[in-house]
Amino acid sequence: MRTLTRKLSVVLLLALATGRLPAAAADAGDRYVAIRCGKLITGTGEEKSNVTLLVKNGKVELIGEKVELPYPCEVIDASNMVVMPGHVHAHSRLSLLDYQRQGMRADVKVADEFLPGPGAFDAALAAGFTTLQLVAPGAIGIPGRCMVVRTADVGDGFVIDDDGAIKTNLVNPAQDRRILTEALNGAKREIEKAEKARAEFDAKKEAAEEQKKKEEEAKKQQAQAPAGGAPATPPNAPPNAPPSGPKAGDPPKPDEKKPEEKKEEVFQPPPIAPQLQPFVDLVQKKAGTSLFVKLGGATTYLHWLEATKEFEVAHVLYPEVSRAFNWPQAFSGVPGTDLHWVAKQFGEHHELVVLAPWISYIQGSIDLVNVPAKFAEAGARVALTPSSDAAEALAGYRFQVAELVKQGLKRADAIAAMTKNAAEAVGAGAELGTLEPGKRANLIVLSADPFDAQAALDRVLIDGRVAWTRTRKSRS
Amino acid sequence: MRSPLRMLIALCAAATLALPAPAQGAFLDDAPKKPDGSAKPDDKKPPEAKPEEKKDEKKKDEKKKDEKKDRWLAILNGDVHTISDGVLRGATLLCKNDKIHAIGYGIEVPKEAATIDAAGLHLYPGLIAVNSSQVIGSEPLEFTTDVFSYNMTFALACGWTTLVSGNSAGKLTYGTLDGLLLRANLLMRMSYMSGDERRRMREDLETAREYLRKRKLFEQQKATNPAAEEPKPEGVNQEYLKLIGGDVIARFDAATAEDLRAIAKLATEYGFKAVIFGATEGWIVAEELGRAGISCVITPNTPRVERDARLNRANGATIENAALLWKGGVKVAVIPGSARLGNDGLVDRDLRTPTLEAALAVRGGLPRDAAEAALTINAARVLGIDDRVGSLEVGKDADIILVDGELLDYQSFVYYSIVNGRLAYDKAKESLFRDLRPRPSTYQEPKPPEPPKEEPKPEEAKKEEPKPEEKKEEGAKPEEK
Repeated sequence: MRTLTRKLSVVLLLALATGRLPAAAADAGDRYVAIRCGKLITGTGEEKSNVTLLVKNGKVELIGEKVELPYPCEVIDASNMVVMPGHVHAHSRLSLLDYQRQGMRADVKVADEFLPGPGAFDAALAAGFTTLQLVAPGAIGIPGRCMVVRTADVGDGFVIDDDGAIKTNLVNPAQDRRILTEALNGAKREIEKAEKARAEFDAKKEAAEEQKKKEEEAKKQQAQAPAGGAPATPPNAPPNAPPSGPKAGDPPKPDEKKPEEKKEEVFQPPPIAPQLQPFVDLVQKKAGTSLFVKLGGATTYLHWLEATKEFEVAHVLYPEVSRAFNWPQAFSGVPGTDLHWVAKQFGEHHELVVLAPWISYIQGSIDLVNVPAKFAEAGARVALTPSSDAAEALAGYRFQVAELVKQGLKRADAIAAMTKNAAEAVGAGAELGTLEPGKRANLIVLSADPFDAQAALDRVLIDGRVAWTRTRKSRS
Repeated sequence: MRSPLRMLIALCAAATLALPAPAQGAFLDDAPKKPDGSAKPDDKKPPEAKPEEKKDEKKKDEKKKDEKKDRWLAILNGDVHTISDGVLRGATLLCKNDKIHAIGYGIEVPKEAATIDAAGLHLYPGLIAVNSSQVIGSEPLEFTTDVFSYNMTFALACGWTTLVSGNSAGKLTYGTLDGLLLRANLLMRMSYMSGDERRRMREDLETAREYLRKRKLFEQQKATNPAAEEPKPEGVNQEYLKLIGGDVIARFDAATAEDLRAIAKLATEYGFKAVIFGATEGWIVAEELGRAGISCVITPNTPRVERDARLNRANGATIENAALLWKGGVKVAVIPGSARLGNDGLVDRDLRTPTLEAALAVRGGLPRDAAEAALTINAARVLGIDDRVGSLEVGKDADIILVDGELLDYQSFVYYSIVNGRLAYDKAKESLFRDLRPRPSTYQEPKPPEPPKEEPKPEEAKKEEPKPEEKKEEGAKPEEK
């Protein structure tokens, strides 16, 4: 039975492959890359052995044990290696200047200061990162909108999304919560203002229509009744009609006879302050607008819950995690030594939470706690990201995650935290994070399992193109 | 030893207080007749009891129904030191949400209640610190307090549940922001030291009093005399109007007998409420302070020599200060010498040792009851928050500490702290004093709520037991479909 099903599946796959390919091969412009994987970690929870991953024009076309390759097709032999989705760094300032920005500046974009020099992202690329979220600077208030970039330009440029999440700080609730609340309430007021204006506009329109009807009726009556004044009205009406057309386009012109002219006018909402526009989109749940919230300690999460009680806003949380490093810090109120105490609330709200891959002290003691494991157990969606842009933080990323796995984080949770959840955390979950048909082929090839201390990075592919190989650029 | 008569009185008092959840037996018959009507006979479920409660507090109940279920916490078999009404040995204290719901014997505990078996423990109201620094945030408290901080746990372990920081009182609501701020703008800080200050303050108070007199006269004459002139509020200190009206409590920081006497005189003359912090030489003018209705916040263990060694002179401090003030009729609250939580030394004189500080007052002659009150109800009165905290009474905030001995015993440990009806500190679970005289935690989380089912009335349930089961099956069927 088993062999039969296996044979069937192979046949099915072949049929799939052959069924799709002729049409594709017909177009000579298509670019194919096939990667023979010893082991493929897809990021969806599956781990497959000895499969071929076929990439067409930068996107994963199919994954199968036996795939008939089209011609021409570049073949990468990783049959004794491990392939997994490229790493995602959700909180980076690589290539950007370091400075502080304060207050409520949701109108400012990181994209406006994005001028990467040559090799700006090489350290990240060499550590296996294919995607970075560049965040707005400053630890106070709402410093601006993030952007999502590739770590190498393989033909389509660096930028994936230049209109990313709104970075929001909630580190010091006394000032940050006030700024956040003002932004949300401001957006609410703007929406109400627009609705009110709309209602007024509709009312005016109706009134104008009614008036017109009345006038028409009056005309009819006048037309029916033989009178001298009847010819005077028709000439008056046509000259009025032509100017109403152009007038709709430019409102500053004097509008004495508004009720009549506005009939064909399109409703124009009142202007919204540029700082508030992203928050208006956010409150109205416009796709692609979300908050990337930097939290302090556990208390700030409670403040977050209270501040957004009446608003359902799309958000990703990025709480500060403290690293168990020297023990007196456990007594001095370091934020992050208390994070595990709100793991339950994070789980209840099913939060998508970005964490540094660190073991922490429990506050007031030298007991250790595996915060990502606690969060994953509680039901939160954990994404793991390097703690900083420092070369050792980037290069040690997989090793630090391996340490978490050793200390109790489930392997499946760890893989999801590095791939699927990490991509969702930067708002690119639809395109990146897993290796499935239709997604972008951002992947890394490792010489061994990612959590093996001896695993070395062999090459990095971005959009199906090799962006880095060990032989060419590695330092050792 | 307390006399049996007194115990009986205390018992009766407790029973009447505990009416909402009456004792079994004799009280059961009375319960339904009471206008309160919130009594719950044995088998009645909370959902059925709700309509009866509605009569009393419709609005509150409707709100709660929308939000969530009531939160219950029962502390069983402990010795309840109410501070206000004596001691109930082996009694039950039931908290509903953030308030004390009932204290007494034979109280019926709802099934969904969390419980603590406090056999061998003593229940006291949580201690109140009239001053603190670096434990909770500065003003505004609700935005600057870290409710997971190490210092908060430490303060709870020392017995505090309410702290003043700046001029606001905050609760040590570990793990939640609900009910963190107790009250803001507590005291009006005043200084009456130098001659110039005294002259100006007297003038301002005189102007304020004169204005109030004229205003009163005007309001009396307004109806009859149209020519009556309305007094102008210009130049009148609005704060002093509140002070004379009794809306605010004045806070003075003074030590010498001369200063204290002057303040007492001023308070008597203008009839305002005042509290004096320090009052090192209060024992000299105790009766004058008592007559003026002034309360004092003192540190019993004040050094008798000025801190500046060059002065080398006595400052009038005595360990008998608290006792003598108390005899003079002054309300005495006690605060340790330093208002922070240190980490060094065992008996540093700071917020870690409230009970030792009060015990030193006992050594100076203060009765034990008064010393306990000095950390609880009197501290609350000084701050004007005694309507919420300071004693274990039905309707007050459920801020309770469970101690394994008498409060003022140097050996006593706090084993549980309850703030706003929530367990905020459990010694067995915190690493702080976990290994010192350990005692397994008896705290039990509330049981998960049973699946909702239509229950027959209690009388029917007794007669026909299988009925609820049948209904269960009926209830289950549509789910399967």
